[in-house]
Amino acid sequence: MSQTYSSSIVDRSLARKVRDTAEGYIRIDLVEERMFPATSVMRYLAVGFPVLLYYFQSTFLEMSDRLFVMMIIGTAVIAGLQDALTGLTSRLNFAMERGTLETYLVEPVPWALIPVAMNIWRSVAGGMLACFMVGLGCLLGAPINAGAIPAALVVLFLGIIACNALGTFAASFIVLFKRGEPVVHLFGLASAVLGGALFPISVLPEPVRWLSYLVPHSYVISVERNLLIPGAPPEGLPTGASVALLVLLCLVTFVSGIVVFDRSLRLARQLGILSV
Amino acid sequence: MNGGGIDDVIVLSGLTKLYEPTPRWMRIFARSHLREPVRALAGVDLVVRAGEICAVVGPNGAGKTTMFRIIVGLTTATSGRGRVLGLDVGRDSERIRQVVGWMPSEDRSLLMRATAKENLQLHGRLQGMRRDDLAERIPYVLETVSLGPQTNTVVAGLSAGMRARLRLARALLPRPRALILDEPTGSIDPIAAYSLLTLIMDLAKQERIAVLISSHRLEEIEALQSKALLLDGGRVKYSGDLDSLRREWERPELELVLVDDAASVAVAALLRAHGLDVSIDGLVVYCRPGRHDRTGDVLARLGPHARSIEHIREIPMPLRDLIAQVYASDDPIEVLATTSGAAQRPGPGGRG
Repeated sequence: MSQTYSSSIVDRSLARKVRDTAEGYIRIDLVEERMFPATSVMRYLAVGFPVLLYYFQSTFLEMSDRLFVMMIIGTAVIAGLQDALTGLTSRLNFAMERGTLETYLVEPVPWALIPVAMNIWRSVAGGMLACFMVGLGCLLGAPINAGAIPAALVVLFLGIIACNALGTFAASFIVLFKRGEPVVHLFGLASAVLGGALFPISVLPEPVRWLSYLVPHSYVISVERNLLIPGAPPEGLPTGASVALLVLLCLVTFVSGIVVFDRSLRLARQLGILSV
Repeated sequence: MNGGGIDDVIVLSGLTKLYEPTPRWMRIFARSHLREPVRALAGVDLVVRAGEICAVVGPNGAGKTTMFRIIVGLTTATSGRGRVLGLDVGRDSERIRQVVGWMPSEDRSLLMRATAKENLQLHGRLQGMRRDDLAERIPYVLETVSLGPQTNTVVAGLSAGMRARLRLARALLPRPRALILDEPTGSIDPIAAYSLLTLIMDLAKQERIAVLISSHRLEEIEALQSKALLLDGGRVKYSGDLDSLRREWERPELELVLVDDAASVAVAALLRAHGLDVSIDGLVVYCRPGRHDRTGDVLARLGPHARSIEHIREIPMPLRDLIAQVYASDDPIEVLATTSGAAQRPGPGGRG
């Protein structure tokens, strides 16, 4: 072996690789945010309109504040989790179209880390959007249990992890078939219905309701409503059970999503279609 | 290391890649253009040592990019072995990517909306370079490629030549022991290309980096004074240094200036009679000797007519024609002994 070898390779721990990779990709996202500052402002303005829509609708229909806040929470969760769900696929698609994916893949980091790192910033931004929507609803008179906000943020965070994991499955689809949007688009729309964005899932027909328990949105929405709406009647499963199932869903989808993504990359590598 | 030399950096032996058709189950989701297996590489042997440049030449579809992609781990070999600093290209891909600097052919691999420095920072962090090391190394590599003044310029605002140099700077950042340059001068003007290639030659010598470079511009390959790997349809047509290639394959054109028109016509007729390609331009007769003919052999055939030659000149064969001749040959091509330690035996592709 050449003398130069030992002086060239820096052996890094997995933790260091995780840190380096996450930092690297967050840096890219911050550069993008800085380059297009108006984009972020416009995104926040855009999500303000559904809140106004439900506010005026509830005024017109003389709905109670509780119904208004219920719809706001449901819509905010769906909007917040959408970035976690679709961020990776749109990012991967963009990288593949632009030709930067190859550059990412020849970096000496485990490929399984890439989907995790690629979507950190978008997921955080999505979570912040959800908070912004709920905050705006609050300003418009929606009653919120302020003491439950920390717990609500934790549940939102769990939902973001689960949606990221589901996004990883769609990203695997992109790696192999070069198209993944139809999968996440279908799932995104279905999750608004199955998750009960504008209604409790108890109104869904029994056979469909079971499907609700397969999407993380339904757990997050029901727990957020139970936590944030003062005196809300219990909705769906008990809060503890919902959180436990959400954690389990996170674990299962996260691990399996990473494994599937890694396998997809390996298959694409073998077939010679990686980043082509 | 398989009996390889201590300076061997990139060693390929019998490297073969067969692109298989997309599995049936995948075709449900996406149509595939590949219905039959395609052999992209067939038993390629190559050794590139520290400080050595190897130019990979071949028409589109020759297997150049596939070879590069196997080395950096973007695809796998079907059979054969590839090693970089003793690391296996299939198993140790992640570690290999730490010692190989990869310069893709396209500008698009850069983050266009980030500055030159930000591009390098991202790459450096993913390479695991420490912050203090990066703070020192980034200005150094940018100065090396003469982009110091453009440190904080957004990539979209750089010229094509500057972007090419930035891609080289990115490849150089983590102190690689091997550089893989896929058509590095493809999008830049000849002057910028010349300066980039000069830089690559200097770096290879000074930092003892093994360089694999592909280019369609044969004059650039010649300027690199490197060894060459000629690929055709995934097979090795020639592997060795360019001087040896010239010695073996060059048939310089002879320019004979005669004393008068009658002599030039007579000489041309005589040479044609010996089966040579001949053309006349006034007093000047041009002819190309056969592959094994020397200039003296040609003159000997002229007999007493040789006395009417006033002046004689050998016109070297352009590399383009030389390589075209190698590609056109159906003869077994012997991979020549080289001074630089290239693979000494013909691969399975030794026959065209």
